[in-house]
Amino acid sequence: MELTVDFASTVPIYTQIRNAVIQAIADGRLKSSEVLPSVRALGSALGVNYHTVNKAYTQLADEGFITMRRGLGAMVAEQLPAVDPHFEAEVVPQMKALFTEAKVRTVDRQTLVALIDQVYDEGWHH
Amino acid sequence: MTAWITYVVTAAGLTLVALIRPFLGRQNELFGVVFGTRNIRQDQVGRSLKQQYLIETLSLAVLVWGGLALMAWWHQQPPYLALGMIAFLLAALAATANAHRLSSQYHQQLAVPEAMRVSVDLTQLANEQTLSPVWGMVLLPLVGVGFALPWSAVAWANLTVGLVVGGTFLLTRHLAANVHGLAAAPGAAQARNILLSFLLAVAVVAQGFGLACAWQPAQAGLFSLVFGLLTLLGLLLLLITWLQVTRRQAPAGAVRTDNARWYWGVFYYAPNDSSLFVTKRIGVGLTLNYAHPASWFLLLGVVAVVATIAVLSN
Repeated sequence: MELTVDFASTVPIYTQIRNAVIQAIADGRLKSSEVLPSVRALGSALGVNYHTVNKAYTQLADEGFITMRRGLGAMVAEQLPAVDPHFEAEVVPQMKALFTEAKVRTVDRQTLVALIDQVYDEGWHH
Repeated sequence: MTAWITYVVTAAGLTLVALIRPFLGRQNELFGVVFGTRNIRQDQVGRSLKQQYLIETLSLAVLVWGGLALMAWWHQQPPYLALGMIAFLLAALAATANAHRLSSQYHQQLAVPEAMRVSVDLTQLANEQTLSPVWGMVLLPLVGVGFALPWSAVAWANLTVGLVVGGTFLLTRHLAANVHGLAAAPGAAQARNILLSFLLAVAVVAQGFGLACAWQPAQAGLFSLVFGLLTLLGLLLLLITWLQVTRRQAPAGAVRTDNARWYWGVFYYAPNDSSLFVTKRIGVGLTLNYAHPASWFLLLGVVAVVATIAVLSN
């Protein structure tokens, strides 16, 4: 399973790693209980600080996407997280910002829903 | 006479190493500068830069080693080996730095783009074959033997070797290539394992050499010869296998070169990379990431150990 980091992007590298892992889980390239490389190995392979990878892994573990066990390393969680207050707290402000911008740009609800459908479907065919 | 033989052998050995180092790199590397996926080995400019380096280094070798030999002969004294080694290493570094500068200029001229998107294969990386940390235990038996026998000085020396090499081994088990990207450096994992196996083997042989010399001091000359031959054989094996897994293989994808992190193609300085060790750009082996304070402590530690041995042996 390929993970790509864009060094020219304004998105922080740890966020890119986090998003790439979630994307891979979503489209089935990473299965439940699949082992992930160690923080050190991934950091060396990407040429980034171990703390950057550790930050991504810690966030993924906090959110319930992966589990980290001492000695065994990181692996995709057996039970993936469902909708919870944490998810809503994260997503709602982002959606509000997006919808506000859409409103200013006079993008109507129908177009917006069509865009959401399109992006949602693309998510499974990465 | 022995001093002269040592001088000539050391001079020939160091000169040879300096001459062949730039020829050990991958197809896309020239004096520490990586040219993306471009094969620079067959390039006309690349060839002429290597020729220029060979002429410069050979001239400097003749000047340094020959000059010191002449001085020693004139004063009827044994040649200054240590001075020759330092002077030649500095001269070779200057020749490398000059070649690196010219190579960088050529790289700019070609406008080789730097890959900003780096991919890695998570599954492959998770299943990558690394040497088990248990292999580090091979350094323990001869330390134990040293302490069990009444040669305490050797026991401490073997313990030092065990700690330095064992520590390096543990820190470099996941050592990555000095370029990044999916298939940017094929064979890098194998090359690393070969290098680490060599490191452990030489350390064990060195520990055995120390014990053997303490056991039979009269045979130290013979033991030195055996130790030297074994190390040379190991080095030869390392070179052959390293070249087979790295030099022959071309990169198969985008290469993030990080050229700007390599000063003179020799010194690696990358504050954003937490690796303490990286594989060398020029030649075969490991080098430190000098952006880490730990690397300076390590360097000072090695200098202190060498200085202590030098003082004690006098």
